[in-house]
Amino acid sequence: MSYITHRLQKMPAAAAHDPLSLCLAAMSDPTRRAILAQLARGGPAMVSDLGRPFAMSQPAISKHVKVLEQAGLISRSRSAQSRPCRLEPLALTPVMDWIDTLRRDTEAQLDRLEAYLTQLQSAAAAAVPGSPSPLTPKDPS
Amino acid sequence: MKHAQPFTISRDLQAPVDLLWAAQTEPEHLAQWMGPDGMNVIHTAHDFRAGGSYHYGLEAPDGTQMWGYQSFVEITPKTKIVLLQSFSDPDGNIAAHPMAPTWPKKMQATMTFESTGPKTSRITITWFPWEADQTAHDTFDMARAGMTQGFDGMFLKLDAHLAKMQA
Repeated sequence: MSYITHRLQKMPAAAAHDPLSLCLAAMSDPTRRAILAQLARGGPAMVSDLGRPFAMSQPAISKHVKVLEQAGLISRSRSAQSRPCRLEPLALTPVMDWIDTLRRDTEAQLDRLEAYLTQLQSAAAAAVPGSPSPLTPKDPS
Repeated sequence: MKHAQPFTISRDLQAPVDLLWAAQTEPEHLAQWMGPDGMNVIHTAHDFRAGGSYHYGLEAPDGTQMWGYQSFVEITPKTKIVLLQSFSDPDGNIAAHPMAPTWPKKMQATMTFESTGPKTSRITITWFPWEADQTAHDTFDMARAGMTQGFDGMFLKLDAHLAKMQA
């Protein structure tokens, strides 16, 4: 009955500084996701260009960029004077995997419910009349 | 505050709604199918009524334990259950998501049960963050978008890009 949340807890508790937590925290902000989207569509860009679609001060945008950089989601060239921001798509893998796990576990839980209901009914069909109904739980097998 | 959109999933089942309801609400039945494969129920405290709760513990063969806590908000027999779902510890204290600190601590789950025929039924489950802050709403919304649409254009594009990089 717990669906969405189950499998996650099976994994060891992680510090808040593991790649997944850092990426999730960075990506939980809509502005930062919009910045990532912009870089995905338009390629490398300057911080000043990234801030253009938002009604936001340059320092505020720089702060968002820094969070994304610390999470490894974007990189900034060290050499060039202009230091354009570049998307690091591989850093998204932990988030993708996590979301994929959520989806698969939710489906798997429903698969198990479905299989159990089938099992109950075939047991009932095989039972002699007068035996316990399928609403009576069976022993674990 | 900008709220997340709910995440909904439903499944058509080859079982009458009475049986579906029993499988979903009686702890002896729940023990047979809930939780990931290979995990055993090691603790059950099930008080199935509005205002009641369900505290459970599961254990994997390697000894890893998972604990969860649900409080029932609304129960309409064979029709609807509204509950709040959380991670917990063995004492039933609500715990944060062990991997994602920004994930909502409590999730409202609305489960609806429908009879679609004498031997068929449908279950629909809707999740929504409960009393969550903006970050938790945003984290949930991101996951929801990823689960339902495989993300928006941005992530579809990134998916394709990742695939290309790994090819």
